[in-house]
Amino acid sequence: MKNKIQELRRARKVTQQELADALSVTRQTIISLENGKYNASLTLAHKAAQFFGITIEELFIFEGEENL
Amino acid sequence: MEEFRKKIRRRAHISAALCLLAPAILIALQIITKRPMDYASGVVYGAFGSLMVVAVFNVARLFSALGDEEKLKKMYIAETDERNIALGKETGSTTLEISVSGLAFAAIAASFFSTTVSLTFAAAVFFIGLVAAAVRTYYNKKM
Repeated sequence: MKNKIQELRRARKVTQQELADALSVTRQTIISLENGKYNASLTLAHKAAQFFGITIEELFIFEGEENL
Repeated sequence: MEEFRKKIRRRAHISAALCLLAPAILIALQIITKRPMDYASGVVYGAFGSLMVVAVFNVARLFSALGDEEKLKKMYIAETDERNIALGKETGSTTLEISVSGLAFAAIAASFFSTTVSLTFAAAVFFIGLVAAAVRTYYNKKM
């Protein structure tokens, strides 16, 4: 699943560590999310969307049946 | 965070109790059994000794976190980070698969040399399977 975390984070001049602290996760989790190596849980997706002030659908791009 | 602080305090107290109990149990065992030092005693001393070292390390780490808000927050993030939790689950299941396969293979290979060793490996595989089934049943009902 693709996401706009890196794009939005850079646009708002937020560091990975600052975002990690705000979402109560490790910086490694932010790196994995940005690289598309890890898919966020619903809770984390919700927190991240709230942080950027957008909806989950705007932040995460679901590309069909990728997990099947 | 207050809940996490309570959890860490509880863990610190348990570790501190272990630090005191482990040598006390060892001394009591020595007095009660009056057993001369042999392999079994070595195993018991080794196990309790390792337990004590881990407990001492934990006491230092946990009490230090309790006295420092920044360390406590870092510990909270490290323990609740969902990627870390997912990694743990993935690691656990992969480790289990590899270990069971290895043990099963060892049981077959050992059957050519020693029935006792082969049966021990087979029993270990059976026991792991039994535990895995019980744990799966537990979580199946819980989720």
